[in-house]
Amino acid sequence: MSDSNEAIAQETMVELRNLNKWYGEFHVLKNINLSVKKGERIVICGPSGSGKSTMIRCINRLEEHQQGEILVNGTQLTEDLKKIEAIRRDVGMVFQHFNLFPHLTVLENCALAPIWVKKVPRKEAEATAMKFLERVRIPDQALKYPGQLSGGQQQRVAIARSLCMNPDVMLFDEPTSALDPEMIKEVLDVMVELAQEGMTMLCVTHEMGFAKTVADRVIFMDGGQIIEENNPHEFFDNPQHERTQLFLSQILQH
Amino acid sequence: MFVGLVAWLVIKNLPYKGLVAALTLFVFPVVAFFLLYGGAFGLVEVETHKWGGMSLTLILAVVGIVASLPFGVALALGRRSDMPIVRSLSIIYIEFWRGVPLITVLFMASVMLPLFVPEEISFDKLLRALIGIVMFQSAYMAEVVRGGLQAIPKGQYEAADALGLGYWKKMVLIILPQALKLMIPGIVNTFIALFKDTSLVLIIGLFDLLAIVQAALNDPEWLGYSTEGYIFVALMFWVFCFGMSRYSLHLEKLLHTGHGSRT
Repeated sequence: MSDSNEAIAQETMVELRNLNKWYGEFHVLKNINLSVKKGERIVICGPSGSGKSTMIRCINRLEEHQQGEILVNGTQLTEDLKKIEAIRRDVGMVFQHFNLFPHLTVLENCALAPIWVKKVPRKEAEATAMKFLERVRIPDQALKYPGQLSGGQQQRVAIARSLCMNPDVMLFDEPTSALDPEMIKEVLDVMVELAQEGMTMLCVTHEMGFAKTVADRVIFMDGGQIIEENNPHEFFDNPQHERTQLFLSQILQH
Repeated sequence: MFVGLVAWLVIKNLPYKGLVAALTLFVFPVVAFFLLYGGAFGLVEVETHKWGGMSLTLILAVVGIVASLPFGVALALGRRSDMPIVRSLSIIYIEFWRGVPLITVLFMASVMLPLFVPEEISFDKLLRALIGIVMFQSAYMAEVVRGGLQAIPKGQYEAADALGLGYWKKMVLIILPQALKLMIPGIVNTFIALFKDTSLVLIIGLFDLLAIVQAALNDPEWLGYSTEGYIFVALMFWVFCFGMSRYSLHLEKLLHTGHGSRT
């Protein structure tokens, strides 16, 4: 996978430099350095409380960082609301609990942001929304409300909703953790397709099968630090760090 | 006319809702004002302090309700704002008006206020009472709205943020529609209380439905009918309040999209 993308993989999409964050006294992120190139697929794993979700939530400033720099597509993330909103337009996010808007239909959920943020005419936005709903294979649910769909369907709608904004980067925050086992596959299938189309992705997930199939790099975090970073092949077969070995042995033994 | 317009709005699936709503909000008050105030079209001029009865009760309640809702929403958003000045002003406003009885507000509006402003500027008594009621009521409404805002999960705010919606779009498109739905019981509760509180305007010399019946009972021809009079007033209040409460239940059902189908 990575070889075929070498040509376009020059441009840096997301860059974190010496990122530090505290929750009060608690030091959640310690000196994080990470550079993600265009088209790269990164999988981030680690035990709960290791700061992996916090890290990707910093990238679209759902969490504020206290030290260090975050650059998305060359724009530096600062207090400036204009810049924050500009970055959020280019960065799509999929949440663990879907966070669809329950008072709007599936189609309205998808068309809302393009209409109001990008000023796309309603007709056009709805046509785009239908296109992406077809891609996640639920065009027939377009006029239902999120509450009438299964978890897996809701998560696919959430992915379509993000794609409608035509993002440069997609962030996935444990997208399959809240799903019943039989629904995980339908969501992962959509994510694999997306990866194969060359979307830049940062996924926090424990789906190691997914990591093996699509990831260019796997990052292991613990205690707010990046412990290990390698291609999936090396990462799973030949983990360097003791903490990584322990983690992998615990999640892979069944 | 008012009943007709509102009925049109309340019943589902009738056409031209937007137009009818605009008529109700903007044209109807003007027409009603001229019909009540008179002076034009050969009608006898009736000054506002002589208005009374059911029409006065309805004017106070409807204007109070319609005007206090947007103010209440604004105050609630202000109280939850990140900006310290906006937040403290909202808190001061809300806590001040909630801490004062409505009777005091009405007294202040009708008796004290004219003492403080120069004599040339004299507000209409009814208008003063209305402003007092709206200011008082919006403080209560603000707290109901705030309760609704706090019930919206954090994920909804985050999803709206992540899509790049700014503060106002996030509030108007995502948060308030959901919050208002949750707040229906609280809002209607406040409205019902306001509707009944309108009888307090008696103490500043305005005659609402209850007061006008009391006045009528002093008429020698009505002697001995006091029980019937009071029962009639009670019944009128009950009918309106019960109507509001039923309509709120109907609205809650109509807006429910959690599960099951909507149509």
